[in-house]
Amino acid sequence: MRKIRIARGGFVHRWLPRLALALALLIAIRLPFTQDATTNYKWTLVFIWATATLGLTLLCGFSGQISVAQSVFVASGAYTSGVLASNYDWNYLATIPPAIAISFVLGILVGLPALRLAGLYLAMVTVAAAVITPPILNQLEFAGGHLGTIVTAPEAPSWSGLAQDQWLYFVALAAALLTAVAIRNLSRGRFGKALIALKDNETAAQTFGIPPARLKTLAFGVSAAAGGLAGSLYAFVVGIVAPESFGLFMAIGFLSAAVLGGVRSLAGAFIGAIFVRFMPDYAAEVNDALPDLIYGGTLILVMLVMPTGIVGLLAKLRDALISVEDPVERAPAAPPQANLPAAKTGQPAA
Amino acid sequence: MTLFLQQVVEGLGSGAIYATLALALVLIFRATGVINFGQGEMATLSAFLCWQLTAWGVSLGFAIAIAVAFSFLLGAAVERTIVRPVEQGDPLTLLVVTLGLFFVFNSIMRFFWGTTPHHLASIVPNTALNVAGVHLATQSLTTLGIVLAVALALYVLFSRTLLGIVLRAAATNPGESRLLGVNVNRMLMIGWGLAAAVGGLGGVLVAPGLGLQPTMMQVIIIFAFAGAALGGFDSPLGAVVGGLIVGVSQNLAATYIDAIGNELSVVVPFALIVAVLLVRPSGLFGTAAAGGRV
Repeated sequence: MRKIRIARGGFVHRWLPRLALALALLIAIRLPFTQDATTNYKWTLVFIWATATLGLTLLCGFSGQISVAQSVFVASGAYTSGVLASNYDWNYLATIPPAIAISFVLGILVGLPALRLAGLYLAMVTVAAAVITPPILNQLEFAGGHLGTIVTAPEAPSWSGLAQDQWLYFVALAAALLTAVAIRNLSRGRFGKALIALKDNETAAQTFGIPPARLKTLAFGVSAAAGGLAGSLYAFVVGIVAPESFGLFMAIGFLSAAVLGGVRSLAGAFIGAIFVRFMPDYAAEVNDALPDLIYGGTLILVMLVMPTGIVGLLAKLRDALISVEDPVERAPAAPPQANLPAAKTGQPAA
Repeated sequence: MTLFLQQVVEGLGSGAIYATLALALVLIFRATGVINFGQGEMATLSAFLCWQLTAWGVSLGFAIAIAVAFSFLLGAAVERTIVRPVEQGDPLTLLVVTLGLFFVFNSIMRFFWGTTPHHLASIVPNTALNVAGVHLATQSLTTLGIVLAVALALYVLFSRTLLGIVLRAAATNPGESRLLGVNVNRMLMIGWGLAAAVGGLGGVLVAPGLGLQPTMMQVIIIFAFAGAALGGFDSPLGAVVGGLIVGVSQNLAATYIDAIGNELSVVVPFALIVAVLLVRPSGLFGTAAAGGRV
């Protein structure tokens, strides 16, 4: 089969990904007007899950630290917002900054062991944090103890002309997109490059003046802040924050979403979130035990066949269909001939 | 004093349960350098198999033997088919694969046996011996005794037999072991098989007390993690001691520290492992090589 050839840096090469993104956005904006409130609610949760998963994209994907504790920060965000809104009558939007701030600080604290522990040992500490979260939340009498706190879902403002479910959908979508942009900018800037350098070779990175301790804990904090934002929205969308919701299983859900979608990819966080939110519903209709079988089977299969996740698979598919070629005539700045066949350029091979 | 001793004894009882699974975790960690989240479900599966065999009329002792042998084969098969392709991958990949194992085995059990608790007979009658006012449950004593025996057997295996030494060599330095003619792949398979067999034996032992159902090991494995981390992830002896410490500390904290009570006793072992990991990342008995220090 002949591949479609497009020039590197050309119009199509530059605009195709943006076009795809714009199309996805259009669909996301159109979606809440075409379906019932229950389905909108499900998609709202998808975006909330994607927001929390994006934090893991930064932490596990770019910084290479394994965390099974994202549920802890979603819990701290949800509890902060829930308590502020129902005990102190704060406006729901006003509760978001404190929720993010508290989760950020908590993330720094949980991340402190990361300075001394690597790989699976760090994962163990985060597992411990995830396990002890529900029993500790049970003790919070001001937040309802075992029963948790009921949070009233905010009404859509009248200027928007939206129903409540549509409004929450857009708030969650906006939060997820803002988080994605923030993580993208962070990961492409000095911070992200330093994290990747640390992950690839800590000693070498240190000789360039990159402080490992500060950056690694900061990565934990930023990742936790994304979890806090997700938690804050969770409180208002789900309408109740109760200890048992924030256990190890929730944490495993976020990690699975990150890894299934593609742990180094922002789009992967969204795709992973869609999978972990929707698959169980469909599978449960067939058999009660089926969701976990598919869930576990998919985790194993993805790791064996495509360790870069669903996004990695899509990228392979793209490369099989489209070949990006360096333009021959122009591009004087590009390193000449290095990756071009000699015959094509008409010059003797170097 | 009697209360104290009673709490210690009960702590040892639950600690013995943690220790069985911690032993299995340690064996897998030694072989492949991964913490197997699916270990508890694999152990429960053996217990279910044992129950099924007794339900078909096989005698309990024989059923246990078959279940343990089956566990060995299952562990080896999992290593060969699922773990080996990603063995050289990064820790996250391996971790996620074992999470996948957890879900797969759990759903298999729910599919065949449902979620209602089954009753697996115990190899010893469930009575309590009264020693100086302290009640000793026979089932706990049996579990404790068998765990100690297994740990001792493993110690002898790894330090006194050729197979054990080759197993260790294959795990610590696969490249050089290959040069010396060791079939590294087979050794890793045996490592996983051994771990699954030990875990399976644990499952069969604790099922009568806990009630046999698919979720039986889900809390246990968390404490087994704590025990293994405490003792050192590469030391079988450490796993047993760590498991016992977790059990006892949990019980004593619940009894004597009012603010903790029964519910927060979960927190105690984890505070303990975080503290130990920070001070001595390789655990109490682990070697420095296994330490996760950056």
